[in-house]
Amino acid sequence: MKNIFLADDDVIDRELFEDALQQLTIPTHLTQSEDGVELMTTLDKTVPPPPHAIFLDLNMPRKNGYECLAEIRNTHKLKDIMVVIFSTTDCQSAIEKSYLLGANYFICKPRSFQLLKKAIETVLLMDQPSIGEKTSIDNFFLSLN
Amino acid sequence: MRDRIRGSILQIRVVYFFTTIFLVAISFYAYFQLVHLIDSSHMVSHTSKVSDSLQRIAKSLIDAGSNHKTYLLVGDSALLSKRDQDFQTIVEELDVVDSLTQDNKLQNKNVKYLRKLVNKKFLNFRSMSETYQSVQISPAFKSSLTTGFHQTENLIQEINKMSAIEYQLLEQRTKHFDRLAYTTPLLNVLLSLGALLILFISYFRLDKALDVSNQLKLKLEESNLELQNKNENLIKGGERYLKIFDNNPIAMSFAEIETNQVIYANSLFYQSFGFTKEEVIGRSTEELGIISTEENERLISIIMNSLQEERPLEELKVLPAEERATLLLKLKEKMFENGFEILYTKKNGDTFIATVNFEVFDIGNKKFTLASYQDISEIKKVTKQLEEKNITLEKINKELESINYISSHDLQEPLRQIQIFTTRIREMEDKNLSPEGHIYFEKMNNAAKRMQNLIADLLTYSRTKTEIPKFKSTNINQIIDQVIEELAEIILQKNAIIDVAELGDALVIPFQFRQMMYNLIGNSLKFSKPDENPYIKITSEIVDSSQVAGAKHKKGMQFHHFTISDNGIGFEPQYKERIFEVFQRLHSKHKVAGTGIGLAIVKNIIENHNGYITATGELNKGATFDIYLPINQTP
Repeated sequence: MKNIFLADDDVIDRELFEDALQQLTIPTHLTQSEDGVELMTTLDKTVPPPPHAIFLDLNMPRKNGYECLAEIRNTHKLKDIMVVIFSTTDCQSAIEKSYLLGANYFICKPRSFQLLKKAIETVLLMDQPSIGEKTSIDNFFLSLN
Repeated sequence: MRDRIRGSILQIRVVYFFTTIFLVAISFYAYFQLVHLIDSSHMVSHTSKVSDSLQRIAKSLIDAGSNHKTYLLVGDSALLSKRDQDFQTIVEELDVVDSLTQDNKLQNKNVKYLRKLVNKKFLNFRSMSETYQSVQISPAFKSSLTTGFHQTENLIQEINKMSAIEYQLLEQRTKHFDRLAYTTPLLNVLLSLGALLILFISYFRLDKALDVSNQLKLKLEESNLELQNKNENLIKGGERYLKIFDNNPIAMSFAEIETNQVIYANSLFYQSFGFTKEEVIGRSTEELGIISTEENERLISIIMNSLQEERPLEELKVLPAEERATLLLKLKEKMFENGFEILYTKKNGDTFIATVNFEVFDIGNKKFTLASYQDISEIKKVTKQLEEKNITLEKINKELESINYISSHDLQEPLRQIQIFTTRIREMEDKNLSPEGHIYFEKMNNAAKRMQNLIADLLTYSRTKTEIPKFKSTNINQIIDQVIEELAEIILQKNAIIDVAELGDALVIPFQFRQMMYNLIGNSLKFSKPDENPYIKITSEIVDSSQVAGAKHKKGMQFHHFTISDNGIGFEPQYKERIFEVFQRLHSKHKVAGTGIGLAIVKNIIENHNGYITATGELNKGATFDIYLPINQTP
């Protein structure tokens, strides 16, 4: 059972994510947060043990994705968790900023359900990054086509 | 002046002329007087000579008588010859008198008569001696008689000797006198001539000196005249300056440093400060109260700071004018170079801000300041309004940008969700859909796709406007390869050929450059002829700024020139500018799927690169895009 965290303020996106996750054959447990503040509180309460991955939307009320990412990387018990940015944007500056703040991967939210499932599956099948290891910039953006 | 000089010269000449005449006259007079004197003296000596000779005749006559008488007594014949000698002397002397009195008829007659008488006497003596009979006298008497005779003889001889000496002296003196009589007039003439010469020399000297002084005077006169003209011009100039000063569109005042009193001010000064001329002249700015206490405090603190003066203000206020002028100049150098803003209070209490500037002047031994006050209240007001408007504009611009960005971004989310749900329906409910339902779904999908493109392009457009560009030396061929890879599907589908030359490295904003190439190549593929395989050629070269169309860069600047040309449907040449404007589409939506933003993005990117782009084309004969990017980018 893989523990997955998802932080996204868009309820439809959360539902779609949940549907896609359920249709995968990999057994998972999903913890959802409506914004960054909620995510950080939940993480603080439940870790350890650390989750397999956090899917983090960038554009969120109260505390956005970048703030959460920075906080996670600066919190001792959270800093080694795999963080996957999951955003509508594919803007270069956003990708670069996320990389510099220490995210592991960047996925642009897909426009078909099939691709969504594929994206989640790819992340779930990935190994935990060894401690302190950083993804190379070329592999950072996950292209799903 | 000139006439006066001429008059004095004439006077001097007249004086000299008369002096010369006078001198000559005196000389002549003296000469003739002298000659006359000499003549008179000659006459006197002539007369004395005559009377001398006459005396000698008389004496010789007495001698002859005496000798004769003695002979008669003694009978010595020697006495007779002596008597005859005496007569001989008388005849000689008579000759002398005769020659001397040649010019005197009366004396001449007398001489002739005298000569007759002498001859008669002589004949008488002769007859006496011939008829003579010696008489008997005692020998003693004879001897004493002879002795007496000899004594007389000796006496006479002595007298004659003295007389001869005197005569000799007379002769000598007469000669001397004659010499003098000859030389004195000559000397006199010479002296006169010398005096005349000196007179002439002194006259010519004086004349020359007068001439020189005359010239000097003329020059002086000329320079005087010049000075007078200059003075007049100065006065005229001064009046003109005063007029400029008076009518100057900037308020100005002229004040003496020592007393700080305003001496003069122009009309605008009175107008600006609301005082009359009478109220201003002779009063200091402090007395006028045009600077409020608060403003004065503010100014003093600024002035003290900028002067870095250690002396207290009270001491500075009573400094002599000279030192105050130095301080003012220092102040001017430090703060007033571009004017200094001061808040002034008018007579009626209204305030206005003016830019003040001043200059320190020396006139005579006094020091003055000429200050100008330019009312900038209006400018300030307008500037403030402009600044406010600018801030508002900037705010609006930022808002617009963020609205553009956020709406584009936020618009994508529901669209993406619609797209996901359509794919889900097609996957799960496909068998439940009618054939029409399939067609509608397809159309809905296309519409969503077009909207997706539109939003993506808008987003890119807004990003190219707002993102801070980062230049990086990049291999252009690598970028083109990436683009071709991205466009692989449509390239394959349209069987297109993309001919890329060796493009080398260039200093570009990599992400934007890729976007630009994507748009341009994408455009060429999109606007290809349906019956012809697309052929796109990309080349590059390095050119000088002179070959760059529309470039305003300095000479010698080098550019990368990239050319992208195709064999597509082209465009009508008159649209070559318009195609770069946002939402300007040359083809209907139905024919070709385009958002109308692609080339506007390209244009933005080119501008971000400080470059130029031109499009050339003809309908159905392809299009060519020429891109010029500077080789060096100055930050």
